[in-house]
Amino acid sequence: MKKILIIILISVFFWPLLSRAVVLKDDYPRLANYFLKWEISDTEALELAKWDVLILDMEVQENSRDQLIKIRELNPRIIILAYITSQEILDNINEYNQAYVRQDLDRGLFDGWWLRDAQGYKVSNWPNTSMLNLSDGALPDAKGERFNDYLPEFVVNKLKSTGLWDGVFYDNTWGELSWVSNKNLDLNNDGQAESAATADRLWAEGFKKMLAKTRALAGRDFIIIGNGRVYEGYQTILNGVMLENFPSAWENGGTWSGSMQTYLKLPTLNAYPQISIINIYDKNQQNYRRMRYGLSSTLLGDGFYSHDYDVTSPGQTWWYDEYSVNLGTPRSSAYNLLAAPGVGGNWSSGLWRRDFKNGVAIVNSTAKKQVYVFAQEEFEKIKGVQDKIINNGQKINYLSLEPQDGILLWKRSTLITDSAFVNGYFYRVYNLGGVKQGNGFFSYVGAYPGEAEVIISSSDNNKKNMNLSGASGQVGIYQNGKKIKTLVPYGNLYKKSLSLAAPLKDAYWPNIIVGAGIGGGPQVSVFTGDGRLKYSFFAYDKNLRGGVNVAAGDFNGDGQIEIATAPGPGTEPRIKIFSLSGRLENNFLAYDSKFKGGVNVAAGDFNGDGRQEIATSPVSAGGPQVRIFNSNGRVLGSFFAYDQSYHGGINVAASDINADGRAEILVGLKNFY
Amino acid sequence: MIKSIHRYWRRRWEKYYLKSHWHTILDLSLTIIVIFLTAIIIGFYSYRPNVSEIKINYPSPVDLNNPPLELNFSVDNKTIALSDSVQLKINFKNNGLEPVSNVLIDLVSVDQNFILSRINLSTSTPNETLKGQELILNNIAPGRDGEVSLLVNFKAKNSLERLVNWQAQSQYSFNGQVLKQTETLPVLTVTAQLSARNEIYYTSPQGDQLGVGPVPPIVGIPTSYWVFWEAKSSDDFKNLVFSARLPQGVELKSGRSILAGEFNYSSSTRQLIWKVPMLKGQDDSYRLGFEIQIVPSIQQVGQIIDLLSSPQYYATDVLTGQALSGTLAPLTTNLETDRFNSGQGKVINQ
Repeated sequence: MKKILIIILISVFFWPLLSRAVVLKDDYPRLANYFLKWEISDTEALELAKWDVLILDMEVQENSRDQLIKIRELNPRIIILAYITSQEILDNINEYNQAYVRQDLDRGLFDGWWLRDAQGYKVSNWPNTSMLNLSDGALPDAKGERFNDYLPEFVVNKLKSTGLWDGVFYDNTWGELSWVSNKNLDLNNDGQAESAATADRLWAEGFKKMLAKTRALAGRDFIIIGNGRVYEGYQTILNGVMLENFPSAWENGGTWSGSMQTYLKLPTLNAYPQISIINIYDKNQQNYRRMRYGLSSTLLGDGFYSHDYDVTSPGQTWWYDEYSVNLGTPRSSAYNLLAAPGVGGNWSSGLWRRDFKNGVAIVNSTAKKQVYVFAQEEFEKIKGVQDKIINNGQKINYLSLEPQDGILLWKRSTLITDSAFVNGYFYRVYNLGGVKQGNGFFSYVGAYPGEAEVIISSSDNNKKNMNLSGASGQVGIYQNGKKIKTLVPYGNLYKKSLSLAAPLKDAYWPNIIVGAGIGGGPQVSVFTGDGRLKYSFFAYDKNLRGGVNVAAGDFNGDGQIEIATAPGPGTEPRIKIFSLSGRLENNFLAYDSKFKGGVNVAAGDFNGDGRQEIATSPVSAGGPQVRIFNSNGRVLGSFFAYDQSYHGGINVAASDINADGRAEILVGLKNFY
Repeated sequence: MIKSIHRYWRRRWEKYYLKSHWHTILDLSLTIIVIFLTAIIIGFYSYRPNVSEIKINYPSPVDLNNPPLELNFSVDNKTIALSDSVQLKINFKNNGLEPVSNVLIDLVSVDQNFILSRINLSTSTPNETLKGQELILNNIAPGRDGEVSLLVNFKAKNSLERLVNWQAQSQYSFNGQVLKQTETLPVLTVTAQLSARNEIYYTSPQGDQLGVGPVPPIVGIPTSYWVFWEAKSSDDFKNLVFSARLPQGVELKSGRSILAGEFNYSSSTRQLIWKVPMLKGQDDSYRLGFEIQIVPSIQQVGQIIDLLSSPQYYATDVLTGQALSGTLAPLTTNLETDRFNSGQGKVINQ
């Protein structure tokens, strides 16, 4: 008894760990791929891993098991659902290669489970398939089971049991059947065609029983979704519905408004986690407008977007520019920009908008072009490679949107956080490969002097809002805009510029690292977050007077903060990496040893490997060449941030401007003429 | 003693004279020369000439503290701009009793910071000529005075220096003598250069989009632009004030980039004022950027809209205390300084 009790307790405590509970991605857009090939290549697996939800044919578990496992390795948070037809099976299934699961399913079918018409013929609704009778009118087999018992058992015993799937996608979760076979359906096997109402009722009851049994056998964490016209009677069992060929003719009047009403109603009905999908078919992969229309409509709710060739060939890995945008978490419900304030609009045609942390999604569901001026806002278009007219990367304050079109827009930050920047400089934004990530901007905070080295904390540190400013030989520590401490690292006589670094840890700066500017010696001082001097050392020959630039981060992945230093003008461009106490750990040349114009440094995780990399730029002379190194001095990237003929020196900073989880390289220019 | 002399001559007689009469001749010749020279020395020593009877024509003594030709130099302004000429007035007077002739006056720079690039006579008479950079005055009669005015231009060889140290080196003939004198000329202070820029961009010179909205402007849709003011000076200036006015319909937005000084806007007067207490010479840190916006009305279709009027600046030269000021061209939607969008200033309708 004692042992049983212990086991029960352990089970209760560790149940969350033992089960694979699905956690939905917080950031939008959420993407689904309805990919029904029976076999997946390695290349396709790599591509498919980019989606958030995959609906894969159940045969994949036999034909491409390794690829399925690989996809999950590449994207541990991915949700993979097994596609299975709920009410039909291919004829002569044993003649198909690679149809192992279907053949297994077929082997268990009882002859009394086929859906027949009044004449006793099998009913078919799709070429080369025969329908199965999900109603309780189907004859029981020797065990007394019907198809609506057999199918859930098959799903649980043959699919879920593999551990490869997070759930099942029941194709054709219809609530009515009377439209099939010209209303000639004998669901109860009495040799008579049922009336439409009876056929629909019997079908819906049987279907619901099948879904309920699936839920009962598979548990609440097993995701069950379907498609077809939304039938409310199933929705409390289902986790969601795929609204196929949006806005589909069969859904709620066949209009955008009708489909949207259904789409937005589903979360009030479905079980958790809720996975509803808007799916659009278009044979033209370059019909970007239609894709935008579907995607931006999807973003008005919390569902997932799927885009396919057509119903006969859902097996594409088409990736659109918009898919790479991280809008972040929602900040509002959808609202109609054309409606009077406070008027919801009941999903009538309009210019619908939803706000996210990093941007907005806007849909023009009207029949005419809409021009809308953002009174107090500015956005930035995506810089895409597909529809370059729409996604041209421009900053905008008004929008001109064609009918049945949509758009995703960035809310761009014009403030560099968690990295030192020069107050008032113009900064361009680059990724590791030297590709511009949106428009440049003047990074300026009016509270601090022009050209001061400033660090703005991205965390409010329990609403303390800590900032640093270094200028004229003094470092100011600010809290909520008020200076709480002044550091004078090099004495009162030193009035020149300063270089700052302060890596954030748990919303606080454990260390404030200061380097003297041009005119000072190459002395590095390390202070505690509250301004007590911990260490001080010379990074280069103490007789040099070019100063020293500093950056800080965990460069080697040892969990400790290191300091990267770069000399000011007057000596070779040698980057050094020190421990906080000043122990030299590594050094390398950032540029040719003959270059003596001085080097700026910044630290950021530019490649997303969890370690900080070092970005460098010339302080003066030299072209505007930025280089990125790892802690061993290996060059990870190199590019010219401005016109190569410019030799006025540039400044580097590092901050995740586009919220993609990686730091961008910000390259500042004092004089952009 | 006599015996010793006798022995000496006897040995000499026997050793030389008896052997060759040429020794005798040589010794006699030398003896005669010695006696002759001794006689000349004694003669000069005892010579006492009658000096009063000798007549020599010495020139009159000249008091170099008060030379006969009095030269006074003056300039019209001790603070000069290198682009302008300095007027150097030379007042002369012959205080002597004899005429002064062949007066040459050469103006030279004491150090190498500035060179005299050009000299011209502002007034010309036959008595005064310029030969290269040398002024020649032909003949100045006793008691005569006059004035010569020169226009002198300088060229800087060291842009960091602002004081011109120069002198006049003159020479002339007076009563058969050539007299030279050097006069230090008034030290000139070169005004510092203060340049100011007032430019507007929708797209930066390097191709970055700064403004937002349609270009050319469209009725009813906001378009914003960035204005930049910049001041540069060759030496220190203080109290720079840069100002302009926003025309009606143009609004100041929140975008800023202030590298130095304070920027303020009075919504009542629509006056923009940028103040910089101190401009260090040769520094490029004095720049202000701010964003302005228009929303064109239907009445403005076809028009180029004024975006900034009456831009002007002034500042005080720290060394001279002299105030420098200037006005700049107003800015319009035609964006003259924006090479990507210049000329697209006329408002259009949607």
